[in-house]
Order: sequence, then C-alpha cells, then structure tokens
Amino acid sequence: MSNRLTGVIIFLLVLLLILVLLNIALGSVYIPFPEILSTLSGHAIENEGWRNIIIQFRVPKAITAVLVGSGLGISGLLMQTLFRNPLAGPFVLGISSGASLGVAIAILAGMSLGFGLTQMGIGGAWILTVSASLGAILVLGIVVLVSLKVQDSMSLLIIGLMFGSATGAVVTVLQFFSKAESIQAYLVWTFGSLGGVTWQELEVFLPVVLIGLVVSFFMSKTLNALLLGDNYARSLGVDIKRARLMIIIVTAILAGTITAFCGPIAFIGIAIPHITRLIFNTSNHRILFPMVILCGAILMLICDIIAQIPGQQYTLPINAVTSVFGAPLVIMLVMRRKNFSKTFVK
Amino acid sequence: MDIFIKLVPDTMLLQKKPYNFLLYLTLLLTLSCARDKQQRHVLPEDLPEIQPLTEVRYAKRFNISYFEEYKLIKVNNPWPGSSDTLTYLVSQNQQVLDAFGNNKGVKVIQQPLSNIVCFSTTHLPYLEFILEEDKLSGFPTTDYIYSESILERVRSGGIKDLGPSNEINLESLLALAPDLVFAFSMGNELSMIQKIELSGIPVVLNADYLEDHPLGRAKWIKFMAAFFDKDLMADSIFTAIEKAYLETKRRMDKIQIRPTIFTGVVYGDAWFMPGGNHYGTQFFRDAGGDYVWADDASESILQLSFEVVYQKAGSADYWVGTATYNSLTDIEQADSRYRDFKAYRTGNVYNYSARVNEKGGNAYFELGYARPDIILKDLAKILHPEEMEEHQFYFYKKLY
Repeated sequence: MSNRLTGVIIFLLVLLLILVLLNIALGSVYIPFPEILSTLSGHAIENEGWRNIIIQFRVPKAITAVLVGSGLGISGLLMQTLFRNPLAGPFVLGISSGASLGVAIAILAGMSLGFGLTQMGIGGAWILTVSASLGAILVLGIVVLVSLKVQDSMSLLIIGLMFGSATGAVVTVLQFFSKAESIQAYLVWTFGSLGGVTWQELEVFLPVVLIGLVVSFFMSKTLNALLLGDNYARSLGVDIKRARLMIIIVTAILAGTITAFCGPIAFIGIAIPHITRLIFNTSNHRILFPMVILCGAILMLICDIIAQIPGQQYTLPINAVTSVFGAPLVIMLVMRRKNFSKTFVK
Repeated sequence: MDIFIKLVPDTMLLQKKPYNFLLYLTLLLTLSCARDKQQRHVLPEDLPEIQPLTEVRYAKRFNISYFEEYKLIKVNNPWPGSSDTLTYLVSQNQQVLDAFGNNKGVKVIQQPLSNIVCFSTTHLPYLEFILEEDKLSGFPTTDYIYSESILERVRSGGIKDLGPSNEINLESLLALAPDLVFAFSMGNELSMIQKIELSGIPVVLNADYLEDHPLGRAKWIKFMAAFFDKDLMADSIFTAIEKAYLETKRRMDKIQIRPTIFTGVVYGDAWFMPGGNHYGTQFFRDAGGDYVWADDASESILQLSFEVVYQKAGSADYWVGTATYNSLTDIEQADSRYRDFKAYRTGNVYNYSARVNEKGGNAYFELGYARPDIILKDLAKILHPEEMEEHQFYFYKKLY
C-alpha cells in the first residue's frame, strides 16, 4: 500500500471519527458537548435524561448510520462489478422489492388474512424485520436458482429487474385493498429510518453486517478479474458460477439485513461506489473496498445529521436527504471528470 | 335556553359577498332550528337573502340560514387550505329549486332525501341519532364501520360496499343513484367528487374533521340534520351532548392537581404529536390534564423526533392513545426505549381501542366526533379516577 493511500485512509478515519462525534452531539435536544464527551467516556453526568438520549438514541443511531452506509456501499459495488453496469445498485436483484413485499404482506394483508400481525403493533420492529428478511430471502432464492441456470450476468440483471416490477405490482394491489392507516404504516417504512434500531436489534444487525463486509473483502481478487469480463476471469481460474453465487449471497445478506432493519434506504448504494471511484480514480477492489466502507459511513453520517436538522424538534425522512444530497454530489463529480467510463473499468 | 350574541371571527368579515355583514350578529337556535318547516320565519321582501340564525359557537365551518321555502347551508373552507365557501340550497319546492338551479354559486338539493351515500364513518352516528340511517345505501370500505345495526344492513345487502375509500368504485356508486352523497375532502379527492357531480349526483362536503373544538365537530349533527329537515331534533341532541360535556369540564376545572399527559407513538423516525391548539389537546385540557405540549401554538400535528418526546414526555404521568399497540408487551416489543417512560413504568397507559370489532372497525373513530362528552368522561376518569367513579370506560381501556 502506497504512502499516499495510507495517508488518505488515515484522513478518512479521522473524518469518520469526527463525524461520529458530531452525529452524536447534534440532535433535536440540545446537549452541551462536554456532557456528550463525559457520557461517551463512561463518566456519570447530572442530567440522567441526557445520558439516556445519548446512550439509547444517538449512539445506536450513529452505529446504524455507519453500518448502513458501508453495507449499502459495498453491496452497490458488488452489483456494479458483477453486472459491469454503473446503474446497478444493491437492490437490482429485487432484494428491496422482496423485502417490501414481505413488509407489505405483514402490514397490509396482515389483518385481512387474519394473521393479526397488525394487532400486535404495526411498528412491531421484529415483525417488520422478520417479514422483510423473509421477503428478501424468497426473492433472492429464486434469483440464485435462476443464476445457476442462465449463462451471462446480463440475463440475471434483467430477471432481477422483472422480479422487482412484479413484486412492486403485488404491493400496489395490496395497497389498493388496504385501509388508510395500514398504507400509512407501510409508507412510513418505505421512508427509511435509522433511529428505530435499538441496542437489542444491534445485537443482530451489527454482527451480520460485519460478517458480510469481511466476506466481501476476501473476494476483491475475484471481483477485479470479473471486471475484465467473464472469459478473462475464467482464464484466470475464477469459477464464475461460484463467484456469482457468493456475490449474490453477500449482497443479499448486507442489503437484505439493512432493508429489514432500516427500510429501503435510497441512493446511497448506487452513489457511494461512484463517488469513491471518482475520488480515488481506481477500479481496483483492494483499494475500493476500504474506501467504499469509509466513504459510505461518512456520507450516511452527514445525511443523518442533516435529517435531524439540529436544534429543531422536527426530523426529515432519511430517504429524502440521501437522494437530495447524494444526487447533486454524483452529478458534480461526473461533470468534473469527462472520462467517467474509464473510472469504471480500467 | 340562554340567548347570546357572538361576534364572528374576523376572517368572515373579509368575505366578498356584501350581505354577509349580517353574519356579524348571530342569534341563537331558539329562533332558528327550533322552527318547524311550517312555522318558519317569513322574510320581508326587502331582505330576500339571509337571516342567519345559527350560532357560530364551536363550529366555525358551517352555517345554516332559513327561508320560507328553503334553507341555505354553507360550508366555509371545506378542506385544508381552502378559502372557498360552498353553498347548498335544500328545498322540497320545485319552483324554488328551478329558480336557483341556474345560479352557479349555489348547489341545489331536492328534498326529501330517501337514498344517500356517506364517505366517512364519522357521518354515520349523526344519521343514527336523527333516525335516518335507513336512508344509507352505500359506503366505501364497510370494514371501517363499527355500528352493529348498520353492519347488519351491509351483511343483508341493504348497504353496498363502494370499494376502498381512496378509490371509490364510481360505477357502483352511480348504480345506486343516490339523492345525495355526503363526502369530505382533504383537498386531493376533488377530481373524484367532480366526476360524481358531473354524473348528476349532488355531493355535499362535510368538514367536521377540520373543526378545532370537540363540540365543534359534534355540532355537525345539525349540518347533516338540516338536509333531512330534522333541525329541531339535532338541536336538542347537540344541546344534551354540549351540556354533558360542559358539566364534566366544569367538574374537572375545579380540580387543582393536573396530571401531565401525552399521546401517540413513533412512526419511523417521527412522533406525531398534536399541537397545543389541536382538537385533541382541548380534550386533555378539559379533562383536567396538563398536556405536555400545551404551550405549543399550532393547530396541526407536530412531527417530533423520538428523543424530543423522550426528553419532554419521559416523566409525564399518563400516556393516552397508543395507535395500534394494545398491550404493554406490544409497546415494549416495538421499541424497548418506550420502557423508560414514567407512564409506561407506572402502568398508566391507555388506548382508544375498547370497542373494536373483528374487522377492525373502531367505535372511537366512528362515534368519537359525535360524542365528545363520552371521550371527555373517559379521559377525566383516566386522569381523575376518584372523581369519575360512576363512569364506565367507553372508548378507552387501560393497557396491561
């Protein structure tokens, strides 16, 4: 690793640390910075309410933001490489559509099908998490089966998109026959939420995302080969089908878990890999992986700080911020670099 | 019955039509609704338009004026952000109807009504109270209905389900050929309403849900009744409800200790909390409670972050209204941080789900507008059980 790269990584790590602190320090309720620091360093502070807000709300939310940003960034990178398509993102294989279908069935059809799930509380975090995971696994299972049959990745991409449309249609039909409050509950889920993840849920969320990130790390050599074409990769001794399956499973674990816990977070998954490639001007996955993880976490923390509108008692839906903030950033970077396609495959 | 004179809000003075200055003074019901059709005040020829006889107290969005052969029923600002006034003329006299039929500003409705459609469950209790529920022939999403007698007619086919309320089945509605549709608008259903009107079915917009006083919403029984010429009946029903409400309020006003109270749950990252001047807030105040957001000046619903609510309501005594959560376990499973609220720890959590049928129809959402006196008694019993021993919970229940 070159010195320059080490320097950049250190810079990004410091930036990440500062943003984590800022993310915890800024919120709707004003808490003086020294109080934040003493709480985080384990000291007792006078105001028990502040301590609870920091420990129970802000720290888990900051951890969630970091996991979501890096997890979705990596899933997006994996999909863009697998399909050699800059428009691919973590959800192209229908993972978020599958998760949405699961949630839609739980919320919208829950009552009429007599499951009584809604009676147990529309916001019941685990119900939504489990239904989203089941939906994602279902769609993913089909995609994996299909991936074993079809030869090229492009067919898989189209099939994934078709699944997305089909599940979207089912969700629309469910919505049509649902009551207003159920539709509202479903819509709220689609807005995405980082603040709903508690420590209890982090016990599951954190290890799963970490495992996904670590596994993906070991695939960088394969991914570099895949970027140059299936035939080239094959000549380098890559088992294409196995590689494809691994990529799909890792993406599903990352994107599926994140969607299950936080809802379908828009844009980050597509934008982060591009932003990273454009900034570092490389398509080498050994470099891209740590950079995507860092940039993803950093961007997500910034988006969350904006969504909190520090000092106001109101909040914005996180999805609105990621898209509004992310789109101009990508446009700006693409405009600045005329040879955009060259950053993709080098 | 006491007669009172009340100044109307300034906004009404700004209305365009010149005769509206008469709205300035609004007289009491004794003179107005109390009149039977035959005994109605005959207007002098030089005052052909309006003799406003409905008081404006509580309800700000409608008024009724009485004439020899007809009534004019006006709805002001019928949907959020609207500055329109809709004028409905109801009459049995064909000549009057024909004479006004060409007037663009007036929507003409022929009485008697024998076949109507309602779009909101809040309209149903008004119909039942004035004994006109048998006129109902269609309703969207009948699953929302709680009233057993109306549901019985849905099951026997007397009332047709018109499909989801956000996408009314227009053909089914037209097939029923109702004399009148009682609809409501949040501002984005107007194209659908226009379509119904174009097919020749008159639509009346009910704006009860926009009134910011509990009695203001209940008062819309008089609006509904006017179309059926049951003004007198509606007036005595409303007066009884008003009396019961004010009686409870007076009792609670005397109590010095006012427990703190908050409401709602977090959806995604937002906690929807009624502003300090919201309809729901008035109940908490009148029930002898100290609402945590009472200082807030807004009439709408605030969208707060969880931590703000945690900070401000964490130590409140009562948590009333928990949406879809109907047990302490539900609440805790949804988000373990709810456990830190004092109201949760002390078990002072209540929800408006005491009467819900198997399809999800909730009495609170249906009957609540028409019977604010019962809601107030329930809330008073929650906050001051020792004062309300004789009252049995109706809409609310304690969560365990």
